[in-house]
Amino acid sequence: MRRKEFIQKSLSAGLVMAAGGFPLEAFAKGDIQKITILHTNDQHSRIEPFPMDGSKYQGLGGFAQRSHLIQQIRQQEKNVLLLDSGDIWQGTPYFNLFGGALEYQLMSDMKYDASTLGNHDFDAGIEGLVKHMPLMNFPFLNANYDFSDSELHGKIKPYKIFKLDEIKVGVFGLGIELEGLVPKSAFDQVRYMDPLPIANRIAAELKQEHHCDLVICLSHLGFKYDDKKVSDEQLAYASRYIDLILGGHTHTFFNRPEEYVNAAGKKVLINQVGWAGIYLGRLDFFFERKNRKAVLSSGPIPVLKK
Amino acid sequence: MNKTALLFLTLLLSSCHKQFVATHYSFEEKKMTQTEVRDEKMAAYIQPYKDSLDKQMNVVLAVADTMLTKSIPEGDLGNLMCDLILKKSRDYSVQQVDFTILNNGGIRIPNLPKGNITLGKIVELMPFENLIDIVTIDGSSADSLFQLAAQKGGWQVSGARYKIKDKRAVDITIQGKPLDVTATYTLAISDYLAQGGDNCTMLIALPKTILNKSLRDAIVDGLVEMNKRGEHVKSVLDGRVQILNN
Repeated sequence: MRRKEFIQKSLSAGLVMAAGGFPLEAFAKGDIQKITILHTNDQHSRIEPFPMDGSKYQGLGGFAQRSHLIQQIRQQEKNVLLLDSGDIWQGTPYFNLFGGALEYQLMSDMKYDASTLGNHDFDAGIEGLVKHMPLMNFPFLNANYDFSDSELHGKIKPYKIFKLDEIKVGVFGLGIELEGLVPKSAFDQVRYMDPLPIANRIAAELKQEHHCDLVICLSHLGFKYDDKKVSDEQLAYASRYIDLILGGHTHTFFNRPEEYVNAAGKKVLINQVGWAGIYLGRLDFFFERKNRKAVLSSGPIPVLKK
Repeated sequence: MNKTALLFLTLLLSSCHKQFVATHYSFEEKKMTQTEVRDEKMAAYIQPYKDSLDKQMNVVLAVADTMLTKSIPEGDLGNLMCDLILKKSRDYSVQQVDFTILNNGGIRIPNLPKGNITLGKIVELMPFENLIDIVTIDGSSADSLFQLAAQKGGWQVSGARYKIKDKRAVDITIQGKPLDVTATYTLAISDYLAQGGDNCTMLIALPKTILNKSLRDAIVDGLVEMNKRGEHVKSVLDGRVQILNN
């Protein structure tokens, strides 16, 4: 029932798009390319849905449920990227009893393309990561932790570039300051570096040197804070080449992606989907060949109401 | 709960190497409800883990007469946790402990449901392996701790009461008496906070004894004892933390 509704809404979005200026044959000719980004954050070992016990999120979430939905979307969409923004671990006895192995196996089975490290991904210490990472068939991406003195040295890359049809997507990761969040013994020798200058450098590299058409930051910094603590919002304002920030840590439920204007006067989006796999986030990006003149005038198109 | 929108996105890219320009995006959030079809192959893979987990975690510790809820500045779930931590810290350490304080980030589920409270539920409530530290705290540092708690919206307590006015802690009492900055108190607290976690820097240098018991041990042991006495878990809200309006 829910799935049907999902497909219908997707189709109606497609129809309105065509009416908005994309002739359907443009897709066929390859002048329009579509990329589907699916994302989670702060899964917190919620392997099974919340139990039906009257609590706030009863019946929601579940890895096997998400896996099925992702399979459905992959049947409909050719160019899918499945991403996560950290804190895979900690929150149910699955982590306490099985040490985090199951989470990595199931995410690999769902064919996640990348994740970043959240503070709770250090809850089994560096040894826990080193022990379980061989179970993953997707990378952890982080650009602002210096691992050179730790056992993770060489095991975590700052970014990865994905080629989907003719579109190049650059994905990089940012992590929160671990001091004060994680016991010192658990992140021994991992050095935190200011994420903002690093983000600008990596994003510029992805856009200008690697010619990525879309740059995505997987962030575990948190959406925003009352104080000056570095956040996704600060990153959005300070950035120049990031198109999309997929956030986490603050467990924020967005109604829709938040739009910001970055330091170069361009639009950058932030999205976050709460926690525990209660939602699967989805963003579809549509690309036009550059030699075609822009079909739509500027300004937001009204949000579709079903 | 599906949200769909089609928005215009100006992502005009400057490089001459670019072939494609992102012009639009649409978004959707898919709520994963109970009626969602499962990937049966994955469910079958999870099953033996689930069986093993259930066997260990379905032990009933106590019975709750009502659902308890995490709430800021004061919630009946936080009150239960702090009351049990304070009581058991006294038992474990065999000394008078004046008060305890718990950061809201240490309460990991929004509710403890009515009915049987299983070990699994308490592991979700308090999944961390944090040990209890008994800290000898001077009145002035205690005041700083309450100021931090107030600034964070109100942390959960037992053995103490305070009010929050303009993000400042006022009318702080410990064991029923106003906080005396020249006095010395005994505090039971998570080693995470005692080591300065969640901005508790005022605790780092204070003398402390680490109990070989975790916060979760205290909650589990406390619930088991209640159950043995035939006592049910009830909602306790006694105004120990209040927000004052101007």
